[in-house]
Amino acid sequence: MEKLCLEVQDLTKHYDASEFSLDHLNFKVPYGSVMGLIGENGAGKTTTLKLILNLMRRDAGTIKLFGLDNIRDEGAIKQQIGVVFDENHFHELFSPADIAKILRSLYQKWDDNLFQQYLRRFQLPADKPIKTYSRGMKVKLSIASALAHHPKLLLLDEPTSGLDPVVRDEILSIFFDFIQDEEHTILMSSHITGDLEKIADYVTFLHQGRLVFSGVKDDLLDSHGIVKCNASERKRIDPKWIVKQRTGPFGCEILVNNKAAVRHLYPELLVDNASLEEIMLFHVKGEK
Amino acid sequence: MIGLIQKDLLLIKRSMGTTMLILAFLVIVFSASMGASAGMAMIPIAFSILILGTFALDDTAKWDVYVLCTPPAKRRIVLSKYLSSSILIAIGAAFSAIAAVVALLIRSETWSLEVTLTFLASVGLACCMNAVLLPLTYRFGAERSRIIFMVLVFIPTCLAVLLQGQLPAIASVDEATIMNMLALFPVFGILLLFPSYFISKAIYTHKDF
Repeated sequence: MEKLCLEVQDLTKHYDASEFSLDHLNFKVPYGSVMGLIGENGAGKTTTLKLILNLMRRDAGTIKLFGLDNIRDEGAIKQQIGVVFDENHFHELFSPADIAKILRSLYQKWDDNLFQQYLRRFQLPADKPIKTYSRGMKVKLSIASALAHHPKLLLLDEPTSGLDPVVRDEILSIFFDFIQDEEHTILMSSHITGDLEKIADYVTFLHQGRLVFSGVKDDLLDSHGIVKCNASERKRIDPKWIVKQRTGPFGCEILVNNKAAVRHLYPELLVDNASLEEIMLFHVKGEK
Repeated sequence: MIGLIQKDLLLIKRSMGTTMLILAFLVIVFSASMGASAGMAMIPIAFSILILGTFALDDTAKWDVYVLCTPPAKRRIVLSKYLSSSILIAIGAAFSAIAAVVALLIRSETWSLEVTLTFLASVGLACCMNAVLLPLTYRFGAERSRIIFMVLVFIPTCLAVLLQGQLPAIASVDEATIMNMLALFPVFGILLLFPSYFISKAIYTHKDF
């Protein structure tokens, strides 16, 4: 049985003001893997991460990191976690040297040399205030700060959001280097599914606070496909294969959950492979 | 936790350092012309309010979201704010004493009981203000807590002025009692910080970020 770095069971959170609910979420992240948390804006990705980090109080459920309870053993857990958000949370008056001074006393395993190495690798000036940094530089500084205390788990909340493709590729390669060690794990939330297709081993798909899918990414991509057909062809397809459909002026597009079976049973129909983005779009905008 | 205190002091140095130097100069000049007590009373209070600036800057950076992902528990994060505020009051008290000495030297006066009592009263008042302001800030944020505090001070003061002479006479307190009260005021202020901390901790612990 795989050793689990993160285990979320029946996680529930209800917001009174917006009537949004994270509804009995269950997923597991094995050690040495990358879990992509995908969903449209407002699906509950950031809420999930905040509940894992105990930034918010959950209504029900349990969360275990490294086998420890995320509330009872919070201090010990957070020594081993690095977190990167989509926006910078360091004071803009501070320089990386100031940030190192602060974080040095917060983390037992803070490594100044490693932090300096990352600053040099990312070409970040150590003595300039953060307000002079571009968005990409701020994200790289967050990553350097997250990695410099030798964490076992990286929690990333849309870290590549708003970045150009060159910087996104650079950042993904940093994460790729991080997980080369089988002891390191990443949980990354993103609505840029292309990034997760490159890096993720597992995917958890949230839609309106509910779990749609959680499992091996390749299984999801291998099983799902898109059938393009007209209305009469659509009626012939067994409903048990149909996940969602979209109807346009020129015909139907149907997301099926077993493309191998559909190809075998209906050889006359065109079944394309589905990307993570397409699967997400069908779930969000498709009809039952 | 030391890192969090360093963070607050560094923020103040970076954002308000020049302002404080100008304030220090003005206080010395004011004290030299109006008397040592007049200027020195302002300094610990001015330093105590600096901690509100760190709350405002933390809100702008959404620093709390980040710091809660680091190992220190919520109670230690709150405690670090109280320690930062206490350090600021101590620094203010030191500057106040220095400003008084400089003003006295300029006016060729000696350190008197009045100066001592003013010093102790201002330190006590600074501690009392923060004991009230910090929980208000945790509950309502930096901007609204300032307004709430001004209302809490302004309304009773206005009422006292308006109703002056119309209220039944309170038994007068003798001078020795007043002097003892002023001398013990810093102790009262420091003691008030303890329940204030527990209130702030409860507010912060129950917040969602």
